[in-house]
Amino acid sequence: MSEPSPISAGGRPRVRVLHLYDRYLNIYADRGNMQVLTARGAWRGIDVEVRGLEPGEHFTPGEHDLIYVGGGQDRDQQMIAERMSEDLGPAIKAAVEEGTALLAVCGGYQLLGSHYLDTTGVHQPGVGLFDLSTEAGDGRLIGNVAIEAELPAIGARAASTTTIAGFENHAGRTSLGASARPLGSVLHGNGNDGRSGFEGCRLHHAIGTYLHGPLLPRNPELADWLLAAALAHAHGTDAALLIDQVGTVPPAVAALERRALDTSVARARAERG
Amino acid sequence: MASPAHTGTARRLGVPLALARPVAAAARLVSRATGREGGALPGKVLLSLAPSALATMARRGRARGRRIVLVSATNGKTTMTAMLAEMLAADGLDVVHNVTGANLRSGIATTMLQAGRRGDVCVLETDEATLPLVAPDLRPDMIVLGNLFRDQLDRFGELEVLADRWRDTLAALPGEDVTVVYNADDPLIAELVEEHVTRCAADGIVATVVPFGLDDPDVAQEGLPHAADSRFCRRCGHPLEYAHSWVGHLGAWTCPGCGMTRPEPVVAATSVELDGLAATRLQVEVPGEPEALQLRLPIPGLYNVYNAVGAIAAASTLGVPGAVLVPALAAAAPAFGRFERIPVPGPNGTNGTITLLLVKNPTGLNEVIRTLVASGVDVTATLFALNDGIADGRDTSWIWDADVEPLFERAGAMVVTGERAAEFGLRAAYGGLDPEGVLYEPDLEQAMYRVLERAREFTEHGHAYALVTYTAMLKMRAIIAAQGWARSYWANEPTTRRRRGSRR
Ligand SMILES: [Zn+2]
Repeated sequence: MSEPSPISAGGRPRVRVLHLYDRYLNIYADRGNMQVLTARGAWRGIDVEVRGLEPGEHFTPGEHDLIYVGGGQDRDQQMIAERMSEDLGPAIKAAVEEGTALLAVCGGYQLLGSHYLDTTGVHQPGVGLFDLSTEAGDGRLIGNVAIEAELPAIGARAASTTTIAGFENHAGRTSLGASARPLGSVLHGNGNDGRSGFEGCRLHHAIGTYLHGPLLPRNPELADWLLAAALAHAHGTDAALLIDQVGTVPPAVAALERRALDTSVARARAERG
Repeated sequence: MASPAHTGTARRLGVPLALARPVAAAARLVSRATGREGGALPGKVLLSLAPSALATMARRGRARGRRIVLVSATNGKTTMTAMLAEMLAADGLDVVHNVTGANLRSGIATTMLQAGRRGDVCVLETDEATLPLVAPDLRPDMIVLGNLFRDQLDRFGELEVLADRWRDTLAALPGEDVTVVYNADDPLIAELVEEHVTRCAADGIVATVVPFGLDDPDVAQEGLPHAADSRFCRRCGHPLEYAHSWVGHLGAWTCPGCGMTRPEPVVAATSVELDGLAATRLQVEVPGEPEALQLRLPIPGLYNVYNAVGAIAAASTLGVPGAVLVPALAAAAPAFGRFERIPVPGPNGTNGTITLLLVKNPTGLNEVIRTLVASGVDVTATLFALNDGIADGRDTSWIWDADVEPLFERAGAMVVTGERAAEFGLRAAYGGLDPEGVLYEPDLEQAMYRVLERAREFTEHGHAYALVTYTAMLKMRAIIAAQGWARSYWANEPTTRRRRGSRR
């Protein structure tokens, strides 16, 4: 367990977010996920500090409460893959083991598996955080997607089962290894490989998923769960409850979130049956 | 398994063009009667009856001396094509030109079918993914490559894939026959054109290429925007460096890795003056002209400067003199839905306007907002209509990659509408707009009335601005036509271009 991070000036709880290779892995509105974490944090009375990391730089596990890994174009990802697994692999694994929250979307999700065999036949090394591997298949899996996910308890904060919706667009087919646990089961859409019925992967407080759109604006329950996990890491497990206790999201935003999620799920249902 | 041989053979051989033509003409009547805009149905019918019709029509035209110019880009291809057609017509040529929305294979076939034997030159707006599908049949005399931005990844896959397909398209054409007019400021395009030149040289052919671009540091961006797409060298993978950038990743670039650098533009805008939403003044260097051309475009925005310079590069290469193209561009009306201002009669005889701004990808949205904000107009009454049809892009995530914040800062409130209205409402709320200022009205017609009410109530002249995606634009246009405020899209679009007085 890391040392609790200081409460920020003004006495508000603080969480520190690390956005890995933010200038290169940002293709599907990853910036939107960051905006949700910071603005939602502010509404909840939590100071969310985001810092980026350049290729070649390193970080110390435990110094951040939440790590974010976005997606890149195939080519950018090729160039990033080796750097990430060599420079950051051990730190990412150590951070997740000691309780740092993590969200990896699309390409970022693929990079955290054991390897990715891309469309051009190039073998990209993975970080090996999740027990999964990915190979490019024939044609891309594209469309709206809805899944049912289980978000585990964090300390006294109860577990919940929730519908999550987003948009997927990936050539990679991801196979989970024996020890891997999926994020959820596919209700409508393709998910990891279009066959297994699984979507994403979860380990401790780390989540990998193909769902973008971006993911967090239309899935507020997931956004709150991530902030709760980050709070637990920063201030101890009891702090996870803070997410439901301090501040409130403006009702107008909550109403928009419900509508955005409903439309997204309805789209996935209509398209994919 | 049942043999598909019978129908398969019929499809492959097709019926003679002479027989297919009347059926397609009938389809055109049906298409008009049912009000399908864009007019792609006749071409679709024609191509299903005679799959080689495109090649046949192009070949017959070529035998009579009719040239073909294909214009493609992610952003601005409609405007650039219209400008080029305007300049060629002013020079006395009989121009065949497709209307917006008819830039797929079927739309191009419709345009050529309707033209029949007519025309000195076909100027065809071509969808980026369609270019590789039609170029081998059409065997164009000229290809104009405007830009490649991230757009509708759900449809095209990734940007690099599209660039590869364009490269293969050029490789499949006879190098001595095609002139490539291209945007030197776009590193993706410049690299694939350089490959074309190298490949031709290996075959002993000197490729004809005409690079165009901007050269006015005073109107450069402060840095690359978040949505800039081409950060790495396509050849060696090294991050690119920019002396200046003007729109998205378009700029004076160089690669420190392999030394590749922006080709010197042969046709370049050397001085640009943006004059609000009304007009843009620019000075353009054109080879063969004794002095730089002084132009006034009646449309706003730096991205339209790129459209004008690209169109000028193409027109001057085709022989249009400066004395003809300058007045022709000065008369260019905004293309359908591009800063198109529609008068709206208000109560008590007062008049307001609603300005339609088509948006479809992060760079396009950035530029529309940059132009609106720089113009200093009052954006208190602003609407955003977000649909997610195939023509809009089914994946709405692009709205998060655009820099919308400067608009939120000035608008204060915003009507959000369309099928994914809530998604843009969230974009606004998370982008710093007071959530109470997000007026959610999914119905397009109601939303339009709301924004006009707001314009009358809160602004001096009753001007409203509507940023809308493609299918929302078509619907809004139909509502506006039904109100009698503007003619329908149909009536506005000339299906044939009148021949002007010949100067030759
Ligand atoms: Zn290079």
